[in-house]
Amino acid sequence: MNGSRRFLASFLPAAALCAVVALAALLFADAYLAQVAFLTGITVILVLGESFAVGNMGQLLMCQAGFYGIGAYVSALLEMHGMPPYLAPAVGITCGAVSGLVVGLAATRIRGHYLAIVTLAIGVIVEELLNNLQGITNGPIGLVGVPTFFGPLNAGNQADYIVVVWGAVIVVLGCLALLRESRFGWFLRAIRDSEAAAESIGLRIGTYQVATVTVAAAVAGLAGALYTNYAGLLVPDLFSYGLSAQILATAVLGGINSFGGAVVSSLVFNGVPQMAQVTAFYQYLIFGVVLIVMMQFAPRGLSQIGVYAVSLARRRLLGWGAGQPNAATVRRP
Amino acid sequence: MLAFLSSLFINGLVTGSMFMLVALGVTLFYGVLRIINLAHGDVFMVGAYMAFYAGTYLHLPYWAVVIVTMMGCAVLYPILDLLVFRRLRGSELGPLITSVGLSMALESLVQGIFTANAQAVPSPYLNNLVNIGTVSVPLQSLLMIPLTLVVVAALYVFLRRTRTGLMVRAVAMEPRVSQLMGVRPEYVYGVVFVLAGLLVGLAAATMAPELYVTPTMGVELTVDAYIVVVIGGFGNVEGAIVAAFILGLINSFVSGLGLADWATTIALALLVGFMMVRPSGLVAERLGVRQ
Amino acid sequence: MPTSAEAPAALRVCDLTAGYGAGTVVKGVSLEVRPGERLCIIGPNGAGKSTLLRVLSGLRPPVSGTVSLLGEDVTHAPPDLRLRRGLVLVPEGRGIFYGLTVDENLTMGSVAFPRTQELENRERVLAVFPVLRQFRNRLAGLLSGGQQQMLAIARGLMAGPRVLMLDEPSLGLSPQAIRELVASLEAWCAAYGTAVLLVEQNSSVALRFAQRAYVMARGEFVYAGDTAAMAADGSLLKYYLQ
Repeated sequence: MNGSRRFLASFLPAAALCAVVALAALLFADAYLAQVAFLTGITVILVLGESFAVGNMGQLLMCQAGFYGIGAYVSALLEMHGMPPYLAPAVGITCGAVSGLVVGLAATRIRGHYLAIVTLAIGVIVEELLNNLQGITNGPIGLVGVPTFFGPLNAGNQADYIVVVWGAVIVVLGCLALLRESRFGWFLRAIRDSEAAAESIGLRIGTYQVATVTVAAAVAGLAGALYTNYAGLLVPDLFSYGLSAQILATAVLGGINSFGGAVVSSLVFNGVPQMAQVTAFYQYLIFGVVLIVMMQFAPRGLSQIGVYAVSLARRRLLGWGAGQPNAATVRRP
Repeated sequence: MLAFLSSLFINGLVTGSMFMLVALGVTLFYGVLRIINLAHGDVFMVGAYMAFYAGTYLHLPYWAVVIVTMMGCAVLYPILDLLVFRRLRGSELGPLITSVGLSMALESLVQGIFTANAQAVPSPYLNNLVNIGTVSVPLQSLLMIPLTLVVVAALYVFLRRTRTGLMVRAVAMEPRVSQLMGVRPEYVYGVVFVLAGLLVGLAAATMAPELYVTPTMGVELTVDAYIVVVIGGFGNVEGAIVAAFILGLINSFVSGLGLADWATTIALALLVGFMMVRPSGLVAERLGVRQ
Repeated sequence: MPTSAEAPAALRVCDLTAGYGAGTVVKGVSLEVRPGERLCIIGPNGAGKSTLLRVLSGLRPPVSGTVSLLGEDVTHAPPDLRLRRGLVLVPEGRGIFYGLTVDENLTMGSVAFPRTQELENRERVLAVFPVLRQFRNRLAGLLSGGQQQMLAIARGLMAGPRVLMLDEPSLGLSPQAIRELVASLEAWCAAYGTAVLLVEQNSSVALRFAQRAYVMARGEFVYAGDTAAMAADGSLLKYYLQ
């Protein structure tokens, strides 16, 4: 397969799924479901960034909530000082990217367990700063009265919100798929699979790591800016370590580096429980238990189960594809 | 002024003792099994609820509460290992990810049983004030320091003077070679989980009366434990002991300056700084000298 | 080969095949170590010697074939069981615990056995390696290369092996150190009748020490015979030059 076909193969199924979800939300959602649809879209963006970074870099980022919070707070503060809301996405992306760059540069030589711990610490630092820099962030009380795109969510504007967020999801998907199938993504995976080999052909590992963290942070920053302009209200608790853990968990459950898996897992583990109005308590419990069980038996997540189901169906029903290696067994992350 | 400083100092020692008991488990996990366990603080939380249950519902005397909690955690941890970590031996990031799931599951399970409301663990020593010079400290806090010293001494003797302790250190250094000596790694891993359970159980039983016990209390402690372990050096037992007291004192004195809100931020900045400048930690590595 | 019911081979390997993933490194190897015998396997780098030892010690599963120890099948036994039955490997690159003292390293050698055996064996081992006695409380990482290799072998002997397998013990040692090592080992074998399976690239050392030798190349034994005959036969060299 050449580059553009690879791109389409990774972009189209996930994008089509997103389009279907958005369309369903536009046609059938009442006010509550519209809210769920919007928040699920935000989750999908956050999970896509994490899944891209973890999957291609082979390192865990545990501070997506921090980047998300920076994007949200900066665009909120700028809008409260008169910036028009339509600039928010650009501001969110920029802020996320800059903070990602700073974190990436600080952690250029840090890998594996150590990087996971450092990013975890940075995520908690952001949350603490949002709480403690009271002169700017208004502390634990949070920012109230932040301007929004279309005013408070209601029957009249819910379609606009859904189009904006799911449109953003599809744009993010396109950008990440492009990156993944470009030389950049190729080199990233070379580094992930063997640092020594990648170094010996002249790849600068640190530079690629910084770039990937920056991309993941920019994506999270965008999610933050979009959220601000929907909620109109920000409190530090929204951007806690718990959220970073949930984002990581959702990405792992979907199958690291599987865009379709990221979307499905966000829908299954965030969208559906909210739709069914499952309390946060059960949602958390299901999350934890499913994550543990999945890691024991299918560490590559839903995408592994999907690949297995497809190959099983092919063999059982159609009798072809039997000779192909099962992609699920080829490589464990 | 002197009274104020010495109360801060004692406070720092008490906090440091708790950090140490929690962080020792984390550093043993890393030194011997090479895993990051982000659910360790949540096991502390479960221990605190064990103490709450034993004290409030079973009306056990306080010394029995401590023993029950330690035993409970020492039994719980190997079970969790069996359910959660055992299949992922040798994987670098797998156990870290499952520990995130474990943390979520434990928090919500405990919330399901005991609700999210804050609980108080009874202790007869809580209202017993002891005067040290001009400072008066609750006996409960002071209890922590000698108990911790005893436990550290016991751990030291165990690791240095017993054959099982020798096996633990050997597996931390060279797991494959240890296997050639007839050491079953799973046995040593089991010992580590029991030890971590005993230590964290003691921390939970002694600290819980002074804290509000809630299902989410563990996360903060996990973070504190990792700050200690980073400063002391991953897998380094001596380093963790030193770093725990340093962090305890920093916490106490920063709060004393009226900057209590900033204590965590400062400690975390220290973590990031250490990782950037000196990832091997304060003290040269002893336990896990594997490259 | 003479085998009788009274005296089974100390170690018998039948048609053993082993490898990593798709590549076969050891291809249908058979050998027998008689009780008290000194046997060596020599061959060039990459011949599969170390892999063979790893399989024999239980660190790697074989693809096919059998391994029996003193008449008992141990093909699928875990490393600790083989050790208890008397099969000990001193791994390549010594593998001593640098952060433990000499005494602690020796204790590790017999950690799978009762403590009485530890005390008894320690005296025996230190009698053969008197150098180690003066460094008993020193960290193993601070010893010289030759002393570290002695420690590695001494630690192996602490288990009281029936068959001792040595992987490249002469690697990186001076001729003087090698001589001392061989002398100590010979003293031990003479006293306790331990069989030795020595794997070496340094064929001159191996042929002088062992009574019988196998030559291994590309995963197979290409020559076997008495070392006396072999040393006289110049054709040995050609296996290295292939």
